[in-house]
Amino acid sequence: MVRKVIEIKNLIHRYNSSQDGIVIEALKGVDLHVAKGEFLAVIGHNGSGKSTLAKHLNALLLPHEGSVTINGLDTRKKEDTWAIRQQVGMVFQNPDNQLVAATVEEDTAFGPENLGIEPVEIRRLVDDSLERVGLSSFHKRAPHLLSGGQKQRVAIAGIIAMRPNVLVLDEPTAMLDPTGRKEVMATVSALNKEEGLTVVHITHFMEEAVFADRVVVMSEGLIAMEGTPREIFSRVEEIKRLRLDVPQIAELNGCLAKEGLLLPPGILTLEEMVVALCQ
Amino acid sequence: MSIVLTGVSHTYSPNSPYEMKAIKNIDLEITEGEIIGLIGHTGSGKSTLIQHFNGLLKPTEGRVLVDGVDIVKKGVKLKDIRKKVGLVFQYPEHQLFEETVYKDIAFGPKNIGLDQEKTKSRVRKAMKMVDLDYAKYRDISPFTLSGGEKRRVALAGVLAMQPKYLVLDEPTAGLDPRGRDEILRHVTELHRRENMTIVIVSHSMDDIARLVDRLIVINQGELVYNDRTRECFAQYEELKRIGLDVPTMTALMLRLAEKGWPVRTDILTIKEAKEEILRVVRGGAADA
Repeated sequence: MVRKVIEIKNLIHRYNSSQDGIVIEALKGVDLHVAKGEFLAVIGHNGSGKSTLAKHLNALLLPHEGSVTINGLDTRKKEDTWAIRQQVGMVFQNPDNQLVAATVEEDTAFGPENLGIEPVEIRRLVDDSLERVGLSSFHKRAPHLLSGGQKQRVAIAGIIAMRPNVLVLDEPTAMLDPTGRKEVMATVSALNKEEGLTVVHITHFMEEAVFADRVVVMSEGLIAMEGTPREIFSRVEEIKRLRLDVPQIAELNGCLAKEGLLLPPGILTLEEMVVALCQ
Repeated sequence: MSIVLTGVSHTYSPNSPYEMKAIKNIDLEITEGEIIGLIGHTGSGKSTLIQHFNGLLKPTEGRVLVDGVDIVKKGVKLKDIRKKVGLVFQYPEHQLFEETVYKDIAFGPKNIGLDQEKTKSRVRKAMKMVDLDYAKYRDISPFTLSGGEKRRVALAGVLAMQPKYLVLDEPTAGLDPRGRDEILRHVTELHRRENMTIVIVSHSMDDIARLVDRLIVINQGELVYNDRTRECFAQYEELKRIGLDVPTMTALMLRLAEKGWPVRTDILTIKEAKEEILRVVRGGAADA
């Protein structure tokens, strides 16, 4: 049986608008399981509830109804909050809001220090984490002088130094240039594929969702679609109705099909397109 | 009429240990009616450069002329320069502050002393340009709107100043695909219908490819390319070296060419790629 790291049952979350007492239901009964080692992409329009969902994964928000369980720990139990946060690390959109120390290695050590780990072990964790995100040679550098992609990788290093089971990324590439975006995606991919880290990746870039094992599409506080990237992005009309899009390569494939050039359906990446055309 | 930069450099914290030359010796002309893209990796100097267009920053060396007026000349009112050149920052919705959409958009026009009637007509017109229904939105608090709507309110606030030149810093960052398409459609319309001169900063090569005629590429504070979009993206090796990329469709054509396909590699959009692939598959002759 596949082990579930995250189990969400009928999750409801409401925000109270301070101005006029209006209650907005941001999550309206979400059911979702994430398996150990899975790479899950979450896409959805602005205001669909993606970020609210993410904040439930490490007890930054607590359910108004329903439940969120991380490796058997219920987020509603106050005594488990720290154990949950140690297991689920989060990376946010803005690289400048997440770095706290004067050097890369101090920043990476911040989490383990707070967990009360022995200095010798912290040294080992920091060196190891920086190596895994490809920033070993940057350990003495000042974080604020790094590029956006490097900053996000420092943020990731700080999290994996706490030995989490799950990495949650909430639009980690939204503010990055093309190189930064590729660096972050390559790092996250490697942590997932080579080390089996469970990843929940929230994004507005359809090209990034292509690399997930499974895609969940959120709309109006509910899960509207769920499937492999190939299944999801072949439902073009539905995707567009949900304010989303398909990757450029998939759209090209659709255009070619309309002109009578029929390639295998479900082509999503540039390399797949090259292979299909060169056959 | 145009914005002309001659030998513009900007140094932050000069004569201090933190001295940093953010842009170096930039020569540039933005002519009325153009739509131009500005790309460069994070920290390349894009934001520093665009803040010179309306005098938010003054050059430490060189000269900036807006419609022939030197922005640092004595007696020049920066207020007049900023009426001409509207700047929309990254995440402009963070700068919304008023109680209603109307008040927020009206803030600029009121500030330059327009009366109630004129202000109202400016607000209505600006809201129309970004597809916000006046009756529906005017009395709503901007903070209850969605991300895409908030950004359109912020854009309307700049448009209400009726700038001749509009400079947008990553206007689509963080928006969902539909929100992104809407903003880009409004930008295109402002250019086509209102004849506004547009400079757009973006990290999305795909958006740039379908939007702009001319492209400015900067790297480490220096101007690397300033040419037609197609010519710039032909320099793919250099672009990759400086942390940028080419549009997806250009990358596809380059890969096909590597595999021996007789395709043109100066392709930018899905439509062009489709036509080029069909031409090769059907064995037609290349359009020169």
